[in-house]
Amino acid sequence: MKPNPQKQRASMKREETAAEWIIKQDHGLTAAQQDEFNEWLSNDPHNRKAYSELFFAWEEIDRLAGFQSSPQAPVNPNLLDDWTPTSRRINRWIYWCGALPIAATVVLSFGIFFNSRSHVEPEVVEPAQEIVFERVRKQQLPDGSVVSLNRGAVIDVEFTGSARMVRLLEGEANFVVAKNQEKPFWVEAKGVKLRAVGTTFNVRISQGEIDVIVTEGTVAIEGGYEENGSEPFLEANHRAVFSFDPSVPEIEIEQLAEDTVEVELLWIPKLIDFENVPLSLIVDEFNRRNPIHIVIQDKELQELRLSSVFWSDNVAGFIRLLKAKFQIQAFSTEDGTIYLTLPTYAQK
Amino acid sequence: MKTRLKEKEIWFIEEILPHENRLRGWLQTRFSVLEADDIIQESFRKILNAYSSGPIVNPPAYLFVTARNLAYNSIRRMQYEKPPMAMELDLRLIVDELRDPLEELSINEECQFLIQAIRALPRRCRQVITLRKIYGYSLKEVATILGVSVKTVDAQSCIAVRKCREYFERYGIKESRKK
Repeated sequence: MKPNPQKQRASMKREETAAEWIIKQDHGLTAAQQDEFNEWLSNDPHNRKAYSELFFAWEEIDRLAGFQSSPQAPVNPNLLDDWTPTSRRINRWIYWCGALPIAATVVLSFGIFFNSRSHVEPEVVEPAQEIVFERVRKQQLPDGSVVSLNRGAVIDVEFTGSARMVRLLEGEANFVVAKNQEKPFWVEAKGVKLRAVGTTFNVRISQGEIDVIVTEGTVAIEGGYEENGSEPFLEANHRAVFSFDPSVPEIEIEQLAEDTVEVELLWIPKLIDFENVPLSLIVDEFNRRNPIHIVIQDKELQELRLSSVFWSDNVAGFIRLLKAKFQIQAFSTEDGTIYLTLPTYAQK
Repeated sequence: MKTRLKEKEIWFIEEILPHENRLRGWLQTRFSVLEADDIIQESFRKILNAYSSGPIVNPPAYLFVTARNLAYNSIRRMQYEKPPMAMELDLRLIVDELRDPLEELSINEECQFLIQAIRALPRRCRQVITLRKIYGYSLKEVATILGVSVKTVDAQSCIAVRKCREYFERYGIKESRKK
């Protein structure tokens, strides 16, 4: 049967319209547009069909959201150009042959692990105790500024038409302030008022003091600390300690060495890239950056080499990965220490 | 009595729930508390359905995208006079889960299919889709990054959605075939 050109044209036009609606919807319709859309939909059952088929395809692509391999990598519109499809099983095997350590027993054990992956999981094992460890919370403010909140920190955000204000009520927070000349950014902590413009700085409330460290830009200190009529300010790699103890000066400013700044800010989550690194080093890194103590009990396990990318505060996720991929056991004791041991089948 | 969780439920608890608070915070800066809750519940329902019928490359990213799309729908129902402010969503801030490189090597066939569908698009189309769908950028942001007009981004997106549907049809992937 010959295709009907008129029908084809109508069908194409319909599809064009449906596609336009889908794209319009992607960023919100006005009330009037919504009415127009509803009318178009109900005009012809073919319209609804065309729309729903296109919509399905458009939604399916959402499954790829977040596909980019590393959040730190620059935005790449040609991301998929270089990607090559790979075969699942083969690549895993090749990867692990290259990465395993000397200890023969471990190699064998993990070899067994991989060969048996396709088999049904043993029914015996109850899930081992779940290691729960709070992560650092990262919050994006309406202006694009980002606040990292150390465990236990509490803030109160108040953005108005003329100013951006964040109150730190408890704990420690690190601020990366988006530049906005028209709207100053203030952080207030127990009466200390800090003003920032395009700055990165850290504020910590601890017993009787407020500790401020600036890593980038300048922070002005407001509220009664003026000297000779001008406000003190803090530059990068400087620290100000505000004390509420009457026997100590109200505010002390000092310059810090870069290593010192680094140590003070270890808590801030960083993406850490490990390439063929022994587990012991990875654990050291987690221990440095988190209020935690992980101990690897078995020597072979200490030498297990891994390549991966981790967020430094994601202790629980890291341990889940070890458990899920290698059936490494983890348990914590009353004092909070976490012990890692070989999977049961690999233990002597 | 201990019950074994289904794989789906474990996936949900591990990959989706940890992001609920952040999602709520993000939604609440744009809506009231009640509406945020509704959107979250609906997002969870959609995600669980989606899990059964295909791959989800990055669960937290998918959660945010799903929530944003639902939020737009809810805005429409509220009948605003003007189009609402674009809901800025930088997926790079969301993509922060522990990434296992093995996971990346073994992206399954269904994902490969979707990726191929996009690779089959003409170059400009491909770039627009990558920025809109994979990175989650808004219309304006995509236009800025590519150095083109907003109109061009819209036009390319229209072409893309049609070509993707064609690709799906050619390979027999239809909505009715999925659960």
